[in-house]
Amino acid sequence: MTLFILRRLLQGAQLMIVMSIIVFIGVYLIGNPVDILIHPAATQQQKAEIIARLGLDRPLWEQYGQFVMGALRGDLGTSYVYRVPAFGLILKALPATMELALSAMVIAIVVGIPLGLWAGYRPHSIPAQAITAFSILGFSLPTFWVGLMLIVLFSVDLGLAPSGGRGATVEVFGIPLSILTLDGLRHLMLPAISLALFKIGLVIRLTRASMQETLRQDFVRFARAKGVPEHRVVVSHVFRNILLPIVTVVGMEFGSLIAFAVVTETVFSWPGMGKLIIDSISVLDRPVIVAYLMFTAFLFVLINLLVDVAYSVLDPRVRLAGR
Amino acid sequence: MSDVALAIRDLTVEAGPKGRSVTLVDGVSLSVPSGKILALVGESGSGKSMTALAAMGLLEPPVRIASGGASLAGKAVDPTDRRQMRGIRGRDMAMIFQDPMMTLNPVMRVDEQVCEAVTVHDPSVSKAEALRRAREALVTVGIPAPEERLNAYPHQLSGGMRQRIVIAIALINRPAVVLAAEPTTALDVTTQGQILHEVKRLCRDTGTAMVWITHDLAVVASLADTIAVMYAGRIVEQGPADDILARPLHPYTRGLLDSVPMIDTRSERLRSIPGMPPVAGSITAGCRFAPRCERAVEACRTAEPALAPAGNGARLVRCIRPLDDGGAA
Ligand SMILES: Nc1ncnc2c1ncn2[C@@H]1O[C@H](COP(=O)(O)OP(=O)(O)OP(=O)(O)O)[C@@H](O)[C@H]1O
Ligand SMILES: [Mg+2]
Repeated sequence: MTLFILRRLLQGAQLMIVMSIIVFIGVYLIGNPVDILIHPAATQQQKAEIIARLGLDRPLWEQYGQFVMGALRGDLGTSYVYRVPAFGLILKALPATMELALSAMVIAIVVGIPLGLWAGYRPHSIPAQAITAFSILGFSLPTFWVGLMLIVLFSVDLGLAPSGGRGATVEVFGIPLSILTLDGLRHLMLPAISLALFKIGLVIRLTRASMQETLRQDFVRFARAKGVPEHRVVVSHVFRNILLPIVTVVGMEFGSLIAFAVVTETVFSWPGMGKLIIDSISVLDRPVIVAYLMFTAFLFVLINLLVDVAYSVLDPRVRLAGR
Repeated sequence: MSDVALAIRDLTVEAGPKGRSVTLVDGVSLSVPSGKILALVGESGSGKSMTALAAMGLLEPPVRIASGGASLAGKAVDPTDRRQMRGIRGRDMAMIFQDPMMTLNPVMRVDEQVCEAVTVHDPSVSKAEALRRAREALVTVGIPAPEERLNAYPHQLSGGMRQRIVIAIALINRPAVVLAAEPTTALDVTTQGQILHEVKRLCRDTGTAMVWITHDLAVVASLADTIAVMYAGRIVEQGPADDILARPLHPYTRGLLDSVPMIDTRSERLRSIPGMPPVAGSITAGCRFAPRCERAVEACRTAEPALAPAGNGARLVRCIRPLDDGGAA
């Protein structure tokens, strides 16, 4: 197990190195921040000074080398705009994004799994077909459009929820949370639902398909032949088997929830990492963009590792190499 | 007869939408006395599994029981009554499936799966008592270190071990009858032999009746007391195992015997029955086997013969031109 984790961490590190190169080149190609950062009225002299201060006069490989040296000391660069460490900016925006992504994930699980189980158990019933239709809808509607429609319906027409911001927050261990105040909850509701909708569709389809497949297995028939009541067949025999694919997929999808949050945060002005990165891209604040992309890659590596470990704990047949 | 463990009467199983349904099992009647083994034989698709699943109330839509009834240890049961069958399954009537690799739940430990068979029928049984019975059941089917096996997951056990556990689960509540759908075909010959031997002993000792579904007439010879031969959803011949194996009356039974290598075989070469069984739903008038039968005459193709007493009366055959001496067709 330890060996497995070490090997995965090593792979993760390699991935991060490759990622950093791609990100660096990519960000370089987007455009020159100097054109946006420097006031048009600045003199040629001032311009040259700023460029030199930001290190933008150096060749790309040298800039990259400096970035790597800094990164190894835990310094991902300083924001051109805010003049504070980029990583600090991201950490400050992280709780809002995490809160949003986790809420969406919980909604997707709590809503998606029971509906999926039902749809898979009686696939020809009318409710099951309605559930399937709903899941296709959740799958195919674009997230930003859903967000806008939710705002139109619940904020503008019904006035039930505010259309943007985090609302009041409470600090728990120094982390600000919206979910613990009524006002914060009202702010969180719409973006969380909007972000969750796609994942609800995904969880329903996955649960439904696994349920149908597992129901056909001989061990289900044998459980019934033992006289196990139907609800127990579903809960303790079928569900324990399909928990594995669900945990895997939902876990893997958590990374993409954080990524998708970019759109939702922009639509709902949710002050998270997504909003930060969009703002930073529009002013070409390179260090923040690079730090965000590196951090997101790191989260993906971490999440995948956690999912693999969870999988091995849940499935008795999987023994991670080296355990 | 009061010691009939299981009787199935006029069972008809259909599949598909009403009006356009096909008949998979057609008017099958069977009975097994306590402690005896009935072999249900026939080619693939003849309806053996459907018959057993129907008796257990385990058919899944679109397959359903169209008519027929059953009785268990003298009491009438209705296989379409889901509540009644839930209580009966696993307690009075158990079933074993073909592939031991697939029959146990891969993510549940063996102890949980064995104990569950006890506790679902009697929730008042304590965990310790259920475990004690589980150990006992494993010992009964010839598993030496039951404690170790109970703590394992199915994937940690061999196929033979798994099938023994499945049999132990089936027998744990001392059911009146066990329906076994080819439970040894997936195993190697040695393990198969051991398990057959133990199953036979268990049936005799506990008075449990068994319906053994198989293609394998070599197994039948060493195991069964009586035989029922199925063809295209119908029983075509039924009677004591020794009689039928020595002197088949129906040309189909003869054909099955000729196509199986047996140690005491009387035919020098193996022969397969020409042609294919009819597809369910495309059955025509007359004897269902007539299109493949070398002895068929015009009368065979006009009306289907009834399952009628033959020989000394202990045997039944559905044929107007039975092989009276068991000779080659
Ligand atoms: N859902 C269904 N709809 C229609 N026909 C079906 C359905 N399921 C099974 N059948 C048919 O039922 C017939 C009987 O099947 P059954 O499984 O009882 O045969 P069997 O004698 O057990 O064969 P085998 O020896 O291969 O197990 C087969 O012809 C099969 O094609
Ligand atoms: Mg079968």
